[in-house]
Amino acid sequence: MKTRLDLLCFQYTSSISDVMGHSWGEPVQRTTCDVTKWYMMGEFRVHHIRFFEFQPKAIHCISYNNDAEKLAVSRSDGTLELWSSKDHWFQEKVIPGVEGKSIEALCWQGERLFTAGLDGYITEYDLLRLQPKAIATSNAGPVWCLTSDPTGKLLAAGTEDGCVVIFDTEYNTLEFKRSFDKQDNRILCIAWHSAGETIVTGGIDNIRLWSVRSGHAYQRLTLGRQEKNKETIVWCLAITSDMTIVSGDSRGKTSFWNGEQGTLIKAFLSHKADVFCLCVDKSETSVLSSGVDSTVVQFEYTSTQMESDWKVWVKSLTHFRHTHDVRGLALANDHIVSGGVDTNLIVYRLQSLKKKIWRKLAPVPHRSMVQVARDAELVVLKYTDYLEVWRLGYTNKTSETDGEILPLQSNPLNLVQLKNKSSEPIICFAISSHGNVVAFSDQDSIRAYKLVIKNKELINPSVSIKKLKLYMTEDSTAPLPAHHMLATTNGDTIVTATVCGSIQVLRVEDSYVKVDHAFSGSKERVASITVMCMCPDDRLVAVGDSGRNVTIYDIIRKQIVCRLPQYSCQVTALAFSLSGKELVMTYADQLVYEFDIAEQEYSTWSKNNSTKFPNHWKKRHGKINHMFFHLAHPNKIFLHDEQILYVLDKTKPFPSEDLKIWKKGSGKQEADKSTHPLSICRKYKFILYIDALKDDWLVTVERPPAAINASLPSTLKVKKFGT
Amino acid sequence: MADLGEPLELCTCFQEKDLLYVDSDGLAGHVIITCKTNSVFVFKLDDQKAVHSWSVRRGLHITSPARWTSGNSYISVINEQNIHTWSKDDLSFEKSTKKHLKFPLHEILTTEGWDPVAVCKDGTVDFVETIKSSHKGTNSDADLNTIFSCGITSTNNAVCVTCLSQQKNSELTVTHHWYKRDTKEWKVLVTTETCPDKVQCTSSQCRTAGSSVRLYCLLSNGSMVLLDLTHQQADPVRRTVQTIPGVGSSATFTVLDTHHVAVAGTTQDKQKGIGVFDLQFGTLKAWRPYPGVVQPNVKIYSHHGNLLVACGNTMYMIPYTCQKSTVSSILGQQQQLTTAEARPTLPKCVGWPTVAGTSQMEAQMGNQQKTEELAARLCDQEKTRTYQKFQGAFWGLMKCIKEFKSVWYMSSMFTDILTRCLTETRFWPVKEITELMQLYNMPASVMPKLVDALIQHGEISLLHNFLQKVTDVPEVCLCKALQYYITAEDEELAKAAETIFIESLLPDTSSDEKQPFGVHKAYFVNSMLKEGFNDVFLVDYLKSLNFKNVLVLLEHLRHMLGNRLEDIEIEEEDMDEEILFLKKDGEKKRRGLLFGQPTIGQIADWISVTLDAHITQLIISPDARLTLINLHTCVASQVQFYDELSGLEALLDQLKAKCSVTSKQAVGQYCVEVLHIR
Repeated sequence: MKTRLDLLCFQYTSSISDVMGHSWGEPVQRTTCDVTKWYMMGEFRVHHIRFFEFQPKAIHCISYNNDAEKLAVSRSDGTLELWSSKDHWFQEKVIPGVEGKSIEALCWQGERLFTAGLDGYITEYDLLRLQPKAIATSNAGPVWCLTSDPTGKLLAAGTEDGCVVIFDTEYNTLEFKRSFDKQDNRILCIAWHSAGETIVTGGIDNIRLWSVRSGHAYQRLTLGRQEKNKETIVWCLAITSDMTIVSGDSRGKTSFWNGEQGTLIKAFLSHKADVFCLCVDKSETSVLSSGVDSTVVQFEYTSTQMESDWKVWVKSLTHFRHTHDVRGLALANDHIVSGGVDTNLIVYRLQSLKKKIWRKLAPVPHRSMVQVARDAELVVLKYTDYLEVWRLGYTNKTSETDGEILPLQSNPLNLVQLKNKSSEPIICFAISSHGNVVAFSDQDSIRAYKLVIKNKELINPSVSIKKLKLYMTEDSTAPLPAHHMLATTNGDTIVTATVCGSIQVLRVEDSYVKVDHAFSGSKERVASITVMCMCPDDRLVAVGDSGRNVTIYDIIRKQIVCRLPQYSCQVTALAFSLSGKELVMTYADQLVYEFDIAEQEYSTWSKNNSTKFPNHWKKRHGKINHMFFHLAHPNKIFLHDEQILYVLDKTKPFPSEDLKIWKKGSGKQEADKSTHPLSICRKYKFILYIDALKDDWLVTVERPPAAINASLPSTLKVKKFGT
Repeated sequence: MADLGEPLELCTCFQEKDLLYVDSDGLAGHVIITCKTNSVFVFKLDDQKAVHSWSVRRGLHITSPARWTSGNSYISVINEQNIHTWSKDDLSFEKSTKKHLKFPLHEILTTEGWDPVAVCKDGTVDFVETIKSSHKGTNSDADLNTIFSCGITSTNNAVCVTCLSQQKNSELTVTHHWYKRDTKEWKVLVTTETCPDKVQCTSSQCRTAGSSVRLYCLLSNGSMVLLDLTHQQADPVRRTVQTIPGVGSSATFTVLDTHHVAVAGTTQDKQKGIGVFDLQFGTLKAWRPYPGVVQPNVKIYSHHGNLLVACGNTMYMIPYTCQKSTVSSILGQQQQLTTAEARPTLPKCVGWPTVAGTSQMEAQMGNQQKTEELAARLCDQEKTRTYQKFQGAFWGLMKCIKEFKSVWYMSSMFTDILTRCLTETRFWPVKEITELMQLYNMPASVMPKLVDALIQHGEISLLHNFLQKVTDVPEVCLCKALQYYITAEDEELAKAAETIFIESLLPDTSSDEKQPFGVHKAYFVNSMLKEGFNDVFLVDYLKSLNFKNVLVLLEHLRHMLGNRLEDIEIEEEDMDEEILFLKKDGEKKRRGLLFGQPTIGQIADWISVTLDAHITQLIISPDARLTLINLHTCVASQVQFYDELSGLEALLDQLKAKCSVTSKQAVGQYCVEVLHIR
């Protein structure tokens, strides 16, 4: 009986072997035959990855520092982001949040940043080391709100227990000073009058005015209720210098009060649901409020008649840019910044009479959460407290049709998940090009592992991991926790940008990692390192910091090669050319420079072209996240922001600054490719990472906006026409 | 369309035999129920509550039902001579206004817009007010007849009282009294209707139809006679509207609208109940059994959209709806006129006036008459007692049918003739039965009788041919035939096989293994196994199969299952030898082996149903163990074979997937795609 079946099986397996080009049971041989024509044509096969489940978190608080021109943003997981408005809204720093620690309030005092949360602590952050610097307990339960006095020497916090707690911050300290009388209900919002004598707090059904000197409440403003048994919660308030109190409450009303007499001046039913946030501009003539209904409403203090002194508050503009609850609002000079549950930051221009101009800052972090081991064809994905190492899929099929999906011969495979034992968030990580060394750092220390992958091409490759110990050298220099790290091609060296701002070169031995060299000069650094790259021959490392410096180090000779001329903007991305002789930099103002390291000056191409980039390019909002060179295209620079991949051909000059690169609205390339050096690809959104592999291969890690939106909570239901 | 709703209990305040009448009150939704013995009740139908009730003193009897008059009062007759009138405000019946008459009254009738009319026992009819003066003594016409039913109806300017009486000679006398407003005098018209022998009028009712009055009479033979009465002429327009089947002498009816009547006492599926009939198209529109136990003479009334039926001591109200019928709405509905009496309504040639007189039509009509006569003779055992007479009549009938190609309308008659053939004990008309089997597509209900008869007479070849010819053999016949084939002697089967020329096609039995059945038996059994069946019914009937036969059948099925497997192996060997010219011979051999055998699916189905039907006995009985073990071994090897086939399928699927042209795919979580950067 079996004879017939066996015969058939034999025949079919033979046929399949013929078709597949290899016999059963043998590992798939990855050949490079017939693919040479691909890169010759400038066409690529792309590993298009969408399985990285990065989910940006909801924005909870926003606070703007007018002096430093920096915006602090906190998210629902406790992450703190610092955006530089003078660098065209560049996300320069991210302090990862700790699980279970929420941030309910942000407060700037000079260049010091304080946060308060439901854990009951006031925390000051070190913005150089990107770590908590000082912590003080409220002694009155969870803290809902925080504000600074006009002199910048005190902080006032409103707590769950109903106390206003004052902290002393003078002389770089953070100490509990005193607490005011306790009230019945929690204090949800707080504001300090510019004269420094009065604090205003909002809670359940009332607003209280407190005397800072006595610590007693001397005025109580009672809010009405919409329903008899439903409390009115004052979510936010502000006070102007003329003692006008502005409040937003759970009825959807924005109310203006006379703080001296305790009377209501005017109340606007400006929102369909709770008003969560409001802000007052410097001139105290504009107020903005927003909340659950996601609209940002602007109020103006304006004269009732021409040449009249009698002014009233009126509702003026309404902005509809968010899809979900707005949780934070801030005024940044002439811009309004808002953020909320939809995870986006929206920046509007505060010009009531002019056209509304706005931009959306995508929730994709500037620093990549993905790295690729080029030679080993591995991808490392960074989640909050663990890393995933994936083997890429494979096909030897080719096609000449753009966008065609090729049949896979092997699927991508999750080889390893490296979880941080302390469950602290991972700050940075690195993988060597050969894929044999993986390292990461949290706030306390770095961890390095040796990765051995056998039979990588088989369906079930065997993976073994060996943890490397941190070796203390005789002069007791230990590897420090890092903000950035890189690994050399063969994994024998790891270069880290430490929390102290120094550069450490770590030697990877069989069972341990030890500090080979630390660049002492970097100790003087006053700005934290924001970007770092290594040249292809593993000799040079370039480092950019938030102080607009770019320094090149020789890690073999253990010396600083040169410091680049300081530019007016921060550097957003760095990349060495394939030869390692040039360093390419992109800045926050979108310009691209190339530096000749040997000559220690900008290269000829840069001198000829860097200032001639078309206006269309310069006016882009997205910042270049990553740059790389492709072996097959040594004269082309590949750059990408979170939405577009650009290819810059160095062999072609820009014809003129007025050149339009793409059609407005459609996003399609407008100019003839033959006449200008820039090519664009808008196929991916949001781009988390793009890098080159061997031959004609690219890796793209994409997180589509639809996938992000699908994870968001439902919005407030608003009755629309026809529904 | 008509619909009968769920019955509701209205009241339980009387005995069914005492119920006199149910009339409608002047108020909407009220009905007056009058009992002979004691009481008058008024009920509201909406909530089934008693609104009023009046009791009559002991010793008095209500002889005429209480009626609602135009003067907003009730009127009734006590002890045939006392007319009582009372209003609904009167709490006691004793306080009613009395009027004594010296002569007996039959009934008092009321109709809207007219004064109450008194009908005397002697047939005198006049308004109650003037009855005393107008009654002149004994009416000679009414002497002989007894009024059994009377009714009143009014037209535009006249009132008509109809009185029905029937003599023993089945002559129905209808006396209709007309009183017109303009002439102000009574006009009496009498008409007689002759009913068939022993047929009585069971119930009547009259309704206004324009200027005339339509009288509906239901006869005990089921005929609904309709008489259109007018005051101009005594002879009415007469019509027999429809014959309602299942109606006996106890049936009563009530008219629902122009075309619909509700009949109590109709039979359906040997059960009596209430049916709504459409008189226009002769269809039963709705039927439901009685809501309770009823007396033979059930009474039915219709008021305010409800049928009122007295069952035992309970009055039920059944809501009904009637829509006007159209041809399209009744298409496909079951005709109730299919009993033996209703046969003439079967389609046949009728004398169509426009073609009447042509020779062809006359011949057709003559043939039809002759055919019916012959069929009647064949069905009548007395007229065709001997085989010769039967044969003569039968072949004469066949000749007529074939000559005029009138098989199409003989279907029901053939059933009777076949039944006669099968039940005939004096002779066995095998030729005639064969002829009928070929000529006539018999219904499934007759087939078991035929199979029984064929088995009884040992007609194996005829049975085989019959079962082969019929496309959908009833499961009961399958089991009977199977039982018979298994128990039949091999010689008999061999003899039968010769007659049907299947010897040359029989399978080769040169196998070493001992077979449970001989060649011929296996062939006949297999012919049964190949028939289609419904497992639900078959399991039931298979239970009647003898247990010994079950074991033999299972053994046979197992043997066949094994054979099918071997057959595949044989073919594999053929393939291995790669002798291409022998391949044709191998094919022939394989076909020979498989000839007459059921497919592997059929074998598996039969094993399943047989095991299902006798599972308990198979488990208990030690005789069955060996059979079951063998069966298990055989099935296990089959399962192994199919497992390997599924492995092959997976392999082929893989091949197909590899070879198929790549279609446009969604990106999904991961893909490798081609990117051209321009």
